[in-house]
Amino acid sequence: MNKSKKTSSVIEGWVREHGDYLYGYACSRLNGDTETARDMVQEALIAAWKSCAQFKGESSHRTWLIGILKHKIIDHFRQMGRLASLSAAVKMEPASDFFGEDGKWHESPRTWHQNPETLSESNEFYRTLQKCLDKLPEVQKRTFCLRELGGESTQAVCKNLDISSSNFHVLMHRARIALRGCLDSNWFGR
Amino acid sequence: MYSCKEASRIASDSLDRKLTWSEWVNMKLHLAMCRLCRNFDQNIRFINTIMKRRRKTLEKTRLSSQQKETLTKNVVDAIKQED
Repeated sequence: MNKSKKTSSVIEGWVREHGDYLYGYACSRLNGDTETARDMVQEALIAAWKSCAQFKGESSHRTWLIGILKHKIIDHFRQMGRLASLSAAVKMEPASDFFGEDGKWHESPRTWHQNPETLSESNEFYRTLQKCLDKLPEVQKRTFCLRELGGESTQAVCKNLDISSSNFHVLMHRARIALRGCLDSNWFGR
Repeated sequence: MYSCKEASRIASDSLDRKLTWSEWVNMKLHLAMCRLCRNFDQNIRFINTIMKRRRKTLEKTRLSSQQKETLTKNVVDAIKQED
């Protein structure tokens, strides 16, 4: 087999065996941004080919490829991270727009009576959720999505976005208040 | 005694880190007396459950066979260019 054919067959094999898995992983970390997810998988496979010689067979191919994909996604977030430290430093006042000077709520959260399990089947609900996520300032959205959607640990999110843990908690608090308010008026209070 | 602003912050933090004993007690005391913060706490846990569900769904996103072909082609082309 010539070299070029060999390359093709290895890549075809990776895409066939692991393509969907890598893609699904990237989609969940990127909040369903399928285009970026495909770019990330593509870059990861190219990088994997280049570092093929370093694959020692100590882990499975899939684990090895996921490791490379993770790094690609982190690189992608790094630029956002720099933005995050900057904007978080500017807006360090924690969530004050939502409270009076006495620290009391401006809005009145109420109990949501729907069942999250049933609701998660509803496409209409997800459209509302997505709209509410899109209304968040970019940095809050990234932080929130990486943590709650990507399921990354607090430490990993801080590292990936290059933010301090105190900035992280401020961003999460603000994001949750804003998201809660948006869902309350656009879904639960309709 | 926590204000609503502080209690809601600690309730939010509790989803991302382990609280100290005194944070936990102060939050529970505030929640016991404040309906709005209890509701806030319920709402953000509700969102947390929904997001976990959403993750499971997104992780099942699949490439179409055409997307797989394109992906393979792009990767192979990129490798060839560097050789």
